[in-house]
Formats: sequence, C-alpha cells, structure tokens
Amino acid sequence: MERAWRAIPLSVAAFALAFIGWMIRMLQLAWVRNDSWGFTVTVASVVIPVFLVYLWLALYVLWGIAREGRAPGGEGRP
Amino acid sequence: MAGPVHQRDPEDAVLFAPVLGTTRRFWLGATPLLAMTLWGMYAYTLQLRYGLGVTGLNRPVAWGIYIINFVFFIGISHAGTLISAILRLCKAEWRRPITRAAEAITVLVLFFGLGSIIMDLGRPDRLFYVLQYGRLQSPLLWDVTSITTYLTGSALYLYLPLIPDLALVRDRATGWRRTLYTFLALGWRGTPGQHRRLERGIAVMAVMVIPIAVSVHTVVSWVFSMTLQPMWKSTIFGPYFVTGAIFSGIAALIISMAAVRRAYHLENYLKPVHFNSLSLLLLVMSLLWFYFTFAEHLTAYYGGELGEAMVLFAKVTGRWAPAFWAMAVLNFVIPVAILANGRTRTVAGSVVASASVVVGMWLERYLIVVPTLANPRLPYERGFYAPSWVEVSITAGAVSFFVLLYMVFTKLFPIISIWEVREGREGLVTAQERMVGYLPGPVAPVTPVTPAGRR
Repeated sequence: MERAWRAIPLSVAAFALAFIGWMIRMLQLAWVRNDSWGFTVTVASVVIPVFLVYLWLALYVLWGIAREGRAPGGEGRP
Repeated sequence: MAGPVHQRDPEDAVLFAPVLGTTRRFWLGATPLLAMTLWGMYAYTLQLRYGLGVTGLNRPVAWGIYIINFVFFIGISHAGTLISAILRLCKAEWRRPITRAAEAITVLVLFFGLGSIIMDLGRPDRLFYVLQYGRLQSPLLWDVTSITTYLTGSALYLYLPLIPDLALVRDRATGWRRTLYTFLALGWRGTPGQHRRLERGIAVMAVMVIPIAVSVHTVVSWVFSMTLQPMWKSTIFGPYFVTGAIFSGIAALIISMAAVRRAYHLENYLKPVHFNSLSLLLLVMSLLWFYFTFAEHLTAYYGGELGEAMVLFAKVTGRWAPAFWAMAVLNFVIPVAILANGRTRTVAGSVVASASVVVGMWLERYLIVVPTLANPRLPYERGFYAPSWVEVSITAGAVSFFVLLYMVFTKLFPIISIWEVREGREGLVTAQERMVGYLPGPVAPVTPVTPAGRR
C-alpha cells in the first residue's frame, strides 16, 4: 500500500506536465503557422505558471505527506 | 484507535455514521435518480445515433439547452471553491462545517458543465481536434483551457483538506473501505511535517483558486461578448456572469446543506447561524444581480440600436416576456422579500429563496442565449427554439446524475470537515485573541471559553 500512495502525487504531476506539454504544443503550432501567436503566448503565460504550481503541489505537498507516512514509527500509523 | 464509533467518539459519531454504513433511505433516494440517469443516457444514445436532428436546434438558433446548461452548471460551480477560499482567507470561523459541501459541488458540477459541451457536439469524437489543432485565438479554446485549470485546481482544493479526514475514517473502517481510505489518506499520521505541508498547500490553493474561479466565468461570458450579436456584445458581461455565478452557487450550496442536514441529522453542525450568514450573502448577490441586469437592459433600451431593441423587446414585452418577468420575480422579488426580513430568514426560508434563485438563474441563462440567436442582426429570418423531449430527457438525466453523485460523495467522504471542526473547537482562544486584535483601545483580558453546546 505504501508504494500505491505514490500513485496519487504521480498522477497529479503527470497531468500537470501533460497540460504544460499541450500548451507548448499550441505555442509551437502558432509559431510554425504564424497564426494567433499573441493570443497563444498570452494564454500560455497565464496557464503554464498555474500548472507549475499544481506540479509543486503534487511533488512537495502530496509526495511529502506520503513520504512522511512511510517513515517508521509514529502514532496512528495505519 | 479501533472500536465502535459510538463508544470511542460520541461527539462526532454522527459525521462518521453515513460513511461507515448505508441506510435503506439512501437506496430509496438513489433508485429514482439512477432510473432518471439511465433514461437520460438512453436519450443521449438516440442523439448519438440520429444526430442533432433529434434536438430542437435549428437555424438561426444553433445553441440551445446544452449551452444554457453549460453556463448554468459552470455558474453553480462557483458555490464551492470560491466561497470556501474567500471564507478560509478571511478566517471566518463559521466556514468550518460548510466548506466540504461547497467544494464537492464545484468539482462534481464542473463535470456536467464540460459534459454539456460534449452533448452539444453532434460528433463528440471531434473534441480531440481541439487538442490536436486548437487555435488559441478562439474564445471557445480559452474556455477549454480555463475550465480544465479550474477543474484541476478545485479537485486538488477538495482533496487536500480531505486527507486528515480520510485518515480518521481509515482508522475506523474495515474491509474494502479501510483499503480505499488507506490508499487515499497517503499515510497521514498528523505529524508536524505533514501538517506544515498540508497547510502550506491549502493556503497557496486558497489564494490561487480565487482569480482562477473569477476568470473561468469571465471567459464563459467572453464566448458571447466577443461576438457582435445584439445584447451579447457588452463590456459588463464578465462581472455580470461572475455575479450570477456566485449568486446561483450560493443558492445551490444552501439547498445541498439543508438536504444533508436533514438526511444525516447534522442539526448540531449546520446551525441556523450558517444558513443566516449564507442567506445574507445571497441577499447581497440578489441586489447586485438586479443592478447588473438593470444596467444591461437600460443601456440597450437607451441606445436604441435596431438589433438590440429587437432582442430587448422580444424579451420584455414579446415572446419571452413570461420567462423574463418570471426570472425577475424568482431572482429578485422572492429572495429579497424572504431574506430581507429577519423573521423569514430561517432555514426553511433560505431554502425556498435558494430554490427560487436556482430556477430563476436557469431562466436567466436561457434568456441570454435564445432571444439573441432567434433575432439575428444579419438579415436572416427570425427563429424560435423549444427543446425536444430528447434534450429535456438528457438534461433531467444530467441533473439526476449530479444529485446521485453528490449523494454517493456524502456516503464515501465526510461531508463536514471533521478535523477543521475540531481545530475550531480547540482554537477558540486563538479566535478570541484574534478578535481582540481587531478592536481599538483597551480590551478586557481574554477569558478562556469552553465550546458551548458541546456534547
């Protein structure tokens, strides 16, 4: 079960990375086609930092909580 | 930590009871909802098979009940995360029993908002084209982006404060429930390090989610106001939509709180003071909604531009007049009459006012979408739209499925944040000291208080 806990932070991190990847793909398409570059940069500059915060949340908060849960000892350990 | 709940923890046993056992009443409530959901699914299979021809959509009214539901559901979603985040940041102590119910509405209803868009597509498989070949010049793609951001943020904001409660339930559950909660609780033991990370995460999300929530409904309004359609092209559509969203969201929250209060006997947690506070917020939003609606229609009337006048008079005195005046009564007259009076601002009164607002706000969305499309600026024939039985069935199925999912949520997770309620009880002196800090001049020394009515 302790290994399974990692699934939640890892899925959140994977989703955040996938969305950031999609935004980069949109930027690339806009650049290659020379089409709506300004809009794409504006939207990406808002959305990518937000998803970076989600990534931080997955890796620092959720992963950190799960890591401390695996530490030996302590009251209320499942 | 093991042992029967009522022996070990009588204080909050009522909060654990729905999660650890299921009564016959639950199944009696769930069965008709499931039946309605299946009926809605059947109607959707017909739409998939025969195309949008089975709907009432036509030229020029190409957007109908699905888009109305989309705007309505996204509006309802503002009940949770936004209200919860604002109350958390303001350290409003009365928030503690209501935040979970609010956040759950947001996450669940957002799926139905997104689902409404998929239903509106004759070929839902073409949704993948958005991902493959999207152009961010289109406000529709801004919507996809902002709603995905909001849904992800809201789901995280719901999950984070759930973790300590999941651990509490884990320590009491047996069988498959124990396995589920052990997995979801991430090994929470309440260590100082885990608390530090959790509180940091909640604080960051509470700040972030407010502009995200505001931006989502602003972007939804831009789908309309970026066009040149009469009575859509408006600079106040952003704040108008956000106001309407918070308005309908609070109403939905009050109804859901009253339902879980009655179903799970939570009278000791969801007290009249909570309904009173939310009712006052609802009253303020009703006045704000009226202000925006009045400004929107007055400017259209005074401008006298032909296209706008056609839509305006169709709404106010024409074909849509019954819906328009019903909207005004449901969103303004009834809630203000009930909520402005302290004697009628009871739990029952706030539920009646909220039900009125929910129906009124759906009508408002209808009146934004349909009359404008039916009276196009370009020289096309005027049109009309009435949803077909397929659309009505799909909508009824979607609403039933939402209520069913909310019921299932209350069965799987504590609908009141247990650890936050306990934290509130333990932090009474801190809250009292904080209040003293707000006051000017000398204040009598703080005397420790005991939680009144604690059983």
